[in-house]
Amino acid sequence: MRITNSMITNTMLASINRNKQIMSKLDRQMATGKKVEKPSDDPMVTARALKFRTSVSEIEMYETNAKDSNSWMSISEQAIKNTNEILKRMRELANQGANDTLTSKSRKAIIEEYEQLKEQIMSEANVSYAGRRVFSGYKTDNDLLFDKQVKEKYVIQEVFTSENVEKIEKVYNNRIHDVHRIRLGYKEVVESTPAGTIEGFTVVTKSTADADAYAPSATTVHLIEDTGELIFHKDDVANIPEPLGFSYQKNTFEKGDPKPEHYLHSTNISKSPSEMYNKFVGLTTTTGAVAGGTLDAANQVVIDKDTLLIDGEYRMVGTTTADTVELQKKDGSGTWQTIDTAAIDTTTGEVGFTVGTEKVEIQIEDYTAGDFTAVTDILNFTTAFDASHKQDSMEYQVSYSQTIQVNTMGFDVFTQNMIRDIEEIISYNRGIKDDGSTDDDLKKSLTSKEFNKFIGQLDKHIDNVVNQETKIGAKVNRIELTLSRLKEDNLNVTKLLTQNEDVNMAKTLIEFSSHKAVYNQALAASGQIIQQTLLDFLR
Amino acid sequence: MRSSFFGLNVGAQGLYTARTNLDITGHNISNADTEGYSRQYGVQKAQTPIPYTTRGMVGTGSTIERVDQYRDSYLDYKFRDIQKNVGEYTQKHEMLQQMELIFNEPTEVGFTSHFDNIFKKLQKLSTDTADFASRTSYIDTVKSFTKYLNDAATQLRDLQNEANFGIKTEVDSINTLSEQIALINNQIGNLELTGDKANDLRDERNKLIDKLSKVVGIDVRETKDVNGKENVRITINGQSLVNGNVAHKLKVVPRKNLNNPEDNPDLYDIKWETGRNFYVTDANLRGELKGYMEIRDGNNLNNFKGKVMGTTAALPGATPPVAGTVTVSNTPKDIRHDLPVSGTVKIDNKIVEYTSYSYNDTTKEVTFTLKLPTTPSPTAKNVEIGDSVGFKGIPYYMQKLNQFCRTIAKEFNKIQEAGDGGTGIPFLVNKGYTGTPPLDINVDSSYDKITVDNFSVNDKIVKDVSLLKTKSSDKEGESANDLIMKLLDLRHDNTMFEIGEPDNYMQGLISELAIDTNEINSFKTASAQMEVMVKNQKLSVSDVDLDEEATNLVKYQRAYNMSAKIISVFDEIYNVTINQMGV
Repeated sequence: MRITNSMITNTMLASINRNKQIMSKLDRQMATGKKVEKPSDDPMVTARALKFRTSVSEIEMYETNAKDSNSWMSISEQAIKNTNEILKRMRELANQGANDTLTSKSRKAIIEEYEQLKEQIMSEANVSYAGRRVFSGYKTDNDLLFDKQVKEKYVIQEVFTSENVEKIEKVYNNRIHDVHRIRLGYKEVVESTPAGTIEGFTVVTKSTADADAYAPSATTVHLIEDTGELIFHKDDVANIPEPLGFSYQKNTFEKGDPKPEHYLHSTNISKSPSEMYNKFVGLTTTTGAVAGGTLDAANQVVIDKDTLLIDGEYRMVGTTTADTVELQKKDGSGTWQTIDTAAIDTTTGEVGFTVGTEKVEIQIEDYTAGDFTAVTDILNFTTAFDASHKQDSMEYQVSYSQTIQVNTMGFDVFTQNMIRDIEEIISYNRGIKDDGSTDDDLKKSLTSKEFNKFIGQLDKHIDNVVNQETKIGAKVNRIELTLSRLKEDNLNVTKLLTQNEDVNMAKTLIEFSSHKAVYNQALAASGQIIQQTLLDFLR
Repeated sequence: MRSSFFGLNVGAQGLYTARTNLDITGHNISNADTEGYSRQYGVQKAQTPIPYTTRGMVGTGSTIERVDQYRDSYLDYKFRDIQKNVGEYTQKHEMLQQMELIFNEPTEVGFTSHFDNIFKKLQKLSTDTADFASRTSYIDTVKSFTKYLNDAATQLRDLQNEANFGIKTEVDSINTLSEQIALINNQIGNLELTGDKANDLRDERNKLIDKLSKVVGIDVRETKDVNGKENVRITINGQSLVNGNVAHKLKVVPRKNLNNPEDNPDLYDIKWETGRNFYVTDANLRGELKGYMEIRDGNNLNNFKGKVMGTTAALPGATPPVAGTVTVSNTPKDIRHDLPVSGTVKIDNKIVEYTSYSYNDTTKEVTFTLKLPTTPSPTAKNVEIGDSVGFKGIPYYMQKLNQFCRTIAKEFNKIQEAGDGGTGIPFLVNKGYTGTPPLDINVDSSYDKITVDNFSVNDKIVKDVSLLKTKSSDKEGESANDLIMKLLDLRHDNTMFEIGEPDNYMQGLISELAIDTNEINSFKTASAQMEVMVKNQKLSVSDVDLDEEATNLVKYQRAYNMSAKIISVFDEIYNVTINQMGV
């Protein structure tokens, strides 16, 4: 092939340029420390780099979450430990109190300390982490226990089982009597509107000032408002319905009282619009027999879960006006009591009633206009609450598709029974007036027995608290394991990331030097070739 | 009987020949560095001999018959064939590199980091849903993510305009070059009528044609007209660009309607100045023009396509007049329904204007209302908007980004709207979203109005962060975070896109771009190497070599000297004959 001067020059320039390109690339790699600058430099490395980066950022976030949950749980753990100490101190004092020889003055001192300790429990229950109450479930902005006396009206519904019926000793009429009672969640309660009913019983409102407060006649239940008790006649105990739903109202709360919204199915009726707190898993309704009209089995009743339609048998009865119905509830004696009358929305089948202070929305499925036209058109249904508490589970993501519940529900630790038990021992002792009456002497004689009973109750509460503490401890362990694994993961992925995209400096440097040597050689050779033509040798 | 001065004539002839050769060599040397110059040579020949008595013929010396050039037309053809690839791949590579820069990967400010940040902030929010600062910082992060996508869209649009401008520039240079070629064609034709070869003009013409071959794929043919006038004919896609001294010009016309819904307005269509169509999508159209064109219009064959399902006739006379409609479906595949509000549609390759369209979510059909008084042909089969361009250009990436924005918006909104007992408002919307018509998570086409250009966080939520829902029930306390947990799960929801998780989608998109760029780059490098090789072959034939010319210089100088010697010898002979023989 014929080679000309410009060809040599062109080829040489092209080679030198190629060399320069490689050197510039290596130079850039050394300066940035990265193998790729643009995705197209190496699409595979880029794709992997993006994936690794995402992994690292995720792991870092999981670590933050795990640390955060650790702090949260440590705070809860400490509060529970403190509570345990308080309960132990109470038990010590109760041991002293159970001593028959103790004077009433010394017992007063114990009671005074109890009051202090109760306040201490309140501050533990309301403990917060970064401004959020740790025991209040999702309602982190809301104390678990009242931190001062407040006048707020709550309608409360409680559900009891036969386990809640207890036999206690009460002193009245100069004698010690056996009394069968159900203890409500609060003392100082009042009758709700409409009044709470118990199927098969007549409920009568009483106060401890009434001489017959603890002696109801058969098929009568006494609601003692100041102590918050339901008293049954001894012959009726076997007839108590199971489960038993009862509603009542409370207008004033003392410092240290549990807030109803954290413990019970309740409505705060002093707030407008009323705040509904549903602490139960759900409401079940059963549609019973359908009598008359064109109603059929498809006309199921759907009730908003949050309504305060208390347990029982209900029915909707037609009126002479088409599509207008009465809501009726069967009372304790088996008579249907009308609650409210309202018209049905014929397109949606919805009907709204006012029950007490609460608006209740009921929907009748598959409703067609004219289904209710006469008093013979009746739709029966029953309601029942699931009494189990709803766990507000605050979940943190601490690993790939792995979450951990960081919070402990306050009602599991600071149980309503615990607070009521402490309250009762205090009020029992406060009830001794030292007036020399027979009743008072009898009460005094029962004091050590009461303290012994309290010791038994405290033991149960301590067991429960220790149990909760153990649960948290186990979770803290799990988190610590997770944390160390996350640290390792982070290290591994970061290593992979580095291997994938970072430049091997030694290798690059050697490559650079060898290209540089070639480049220098090429320059030197070019200088020689370009200078020489035949003309240089002609004279 | 030969002339007594015959010998002197032969010597003189030698002088002329050597002199001409020296002139040619001088011309070669002085043009050694002229671009496109082909070295020339004299075609030297012995002159016709004359009979010399009975002893045969005697030579009459030499002569330069004509001046020719060293050039291989096959190499020219080959070179131009490669040039069109070099032109196409160089432009594409340059534009693709710019596209890569737009996505800003792999850096700390690219898509992945932005997307990572959203989920980081969500994790933070999940541990403290009531915290005002966590909410605000989450919303701000999503805002900067949408801003990043908006910016990417703006830059892609700028790039499309750049490519569009590139097309105009290429068309201008085609026009200039073709005009110059036609002019030189004319000159060469006239000059060569005498039979001589206009070497330097031919070089000039070849240089122009070489330039043109980089701009656009051309077909070059040398022809002779009836008068024996030589000229060159150049065609593009079989359409004549230069014929003899006539150059056909191209022009650019701004489009009235969008070809791809993602396009910028007023992109150029190329047409011949005579009004004929210029086939931009032809496979033979190569060169820089095609490079720009495919970057600008490349939709990876995913333009609106479908088959006619039914038509209704226009009734222009009715009061009010009724427009004709055509209903289109693309079964079994989904039909595109994110179309320009009005524009043109090709029905069996006939372009018709439509004034509006509607999409039926259940039948998956699009119905166009055509401009009065058009009646669509009831037998029409294929319906199309714009062109199918089998390259992943700007419209393709815009479309992919749109799909990403729409899907992400829908998934986030689905969760957000379920908040507080179904009272949430959409979180990710189109800029200036008012709520009418609503973005309906159950109606796919309602999300068509979200594009990567207008993707943003709902202003209402930005202004009032309490509208950001973190829990599904309004009955729960402030720390309930079930919705945030659901949002966190979205990141690993591998049913969200065909390709899997949202990260996979975008990483896939960036990889596609990276692989394409990488591939185009290797094509570019390969064709550039090929170009160098053929160029060297061409140089090998045509280039001036100074060593060679120096040799020639010496050679012809010697020849000249010797011819002069011949004259001087004959001079001496004549001196003897005339002066000393003494007549």
